[in-house]
Amino acid sequence: MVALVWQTVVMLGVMPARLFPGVDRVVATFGRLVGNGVLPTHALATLARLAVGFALGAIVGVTLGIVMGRSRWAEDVLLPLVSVGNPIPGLAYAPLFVIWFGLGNLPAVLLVGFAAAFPVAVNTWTGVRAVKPIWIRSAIAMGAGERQIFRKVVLPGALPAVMTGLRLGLARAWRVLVAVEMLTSVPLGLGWLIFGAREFLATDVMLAGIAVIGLVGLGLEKLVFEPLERLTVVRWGMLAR
Amino acid sequence: MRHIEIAKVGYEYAGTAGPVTALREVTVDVATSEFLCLVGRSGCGKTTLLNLVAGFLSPTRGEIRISGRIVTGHGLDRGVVFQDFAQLFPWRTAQRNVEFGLEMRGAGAAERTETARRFLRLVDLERFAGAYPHELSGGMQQRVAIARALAYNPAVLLMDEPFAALDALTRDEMQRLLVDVWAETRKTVLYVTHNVAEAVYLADRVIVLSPHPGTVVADVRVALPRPRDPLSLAFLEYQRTIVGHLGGRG
Ligand SMILES: Nc1ncnc2c1ncn2[C@@H]1O[C@H](COP(=O)(O)OP(=O)(O)O)[C@@H](O)[C@H]1O
Ligand SMILES: [Mg+2]
Repeated sequence: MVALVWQTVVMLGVMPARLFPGVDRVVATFGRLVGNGVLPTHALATLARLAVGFALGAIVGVTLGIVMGRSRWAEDVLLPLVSVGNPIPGLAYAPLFVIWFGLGNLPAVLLVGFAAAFPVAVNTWTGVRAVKPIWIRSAIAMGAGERQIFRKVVLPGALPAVMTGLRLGLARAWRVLVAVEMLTSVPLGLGWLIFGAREFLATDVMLAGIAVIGLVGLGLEKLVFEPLERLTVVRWGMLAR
Repeated sequence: MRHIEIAKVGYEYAGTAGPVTALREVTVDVATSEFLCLVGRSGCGKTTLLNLVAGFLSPTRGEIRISGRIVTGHGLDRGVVFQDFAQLFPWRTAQRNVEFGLEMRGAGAAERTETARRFLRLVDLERFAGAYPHELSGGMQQRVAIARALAYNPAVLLMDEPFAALDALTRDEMQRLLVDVWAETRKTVLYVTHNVAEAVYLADRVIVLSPHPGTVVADVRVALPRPRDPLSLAFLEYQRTIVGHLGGRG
């Protein structure tokens, strides 16, 4: 459907073909760039950055969320900071990160982690706070100590919310990463590929890059989160669906 | 033999609008393997008393002893079943829920599996060992909760209106099952309910509490053979007596 409208616009010649390539050209370019390994190389570089940055953000976010959920004091100190920081787009910090950490991989990865950590922390905190007192009571009645309650009740009890946080965090990480690649002059990456193609007015390459970004995002959702959820919260009936 | 001794126990909640005296001068003894029902209107302190025996609260006056030792906190000598179906852990199967107490006690995997199976069989749910709580009906969930509270072999079973949220037919079924489980395990049971017929059906003795503050107003021994017939004259006579102690409408 989209392809049809697109192709009609192209055929009507509203925009010069060079700036607005036909679907056939984009598909052909896509095939060529996959075939000669250019797209996979760039995509892999971006995915590696995503993995490292997101892992960092997830670890920090989950830790912060748990600490805030468990300690009154940490909640009072950290929650206002996290709540204010959460709605700020991660990309707003990009220039700062470039000044602090220079160009290249480091600021990109750190910014991805930074952006991802906020929703993860907020949702983990909510999850820990939402653990039902009756679960804790039952565990205490069966002789559970502090550490066992934490590991066997609080963590699984908070998992649905943590999953939501991770999913939001990953979406944010993905968005900020592609953009920040354009700013920090990384040697390889989808963002860089698209940005670099601008120099040559290679709109077909840009569109092919954008298509990969969309596909990867979809793939992460379908291949990572949905199976993970099916194995846990969906199976436990803890997800309102 | 006296198993649970509740001696002149009083309890006061802090309360936002000043202290609330929930219980005053409550003295009850429960014999070993006795099935005791606490009956009273809503708000008369039944849950409070059960939580004191469970060790979730400590008495502001008096003391509670189990097997001669003063209760200072929770312990593996007591199993607790609550009214709320949500007491089961949704992330564990029925089997793994029942294993929880054994896990806390440090039992090995083989012993856990075997014991949990046995108690699921006791509540007639062996077929559902692999089901998650959300896949079970309310009555089945409460049966899992009973199996879970019994699996680590506590001497005392504390139950707070465990069947109150079930429909009448399921409740009857559950009461029959509980009597069987009790006959087989010979636990000392302290069972809270506001349902007089349920108390007469289940109990060896019924303790009637009156509200504001909660105090014991009657101690009725139910001398009927089991299984009991809720439609028999003797049964109805007991109900009448207890409703009388509750002060009218029941
Ligand atoms: N956390 C609390 N704070 C203050 N008052 C409470 C609290 N819990 C219970 N109460 C009061 O104590 C009394 C006994 O409550 P409860 O033991 O729950 O009664 P029951 O289980 O018989 O319905 C009630 O009057 C109730 O309002
Ligand atoms: Mg109650």
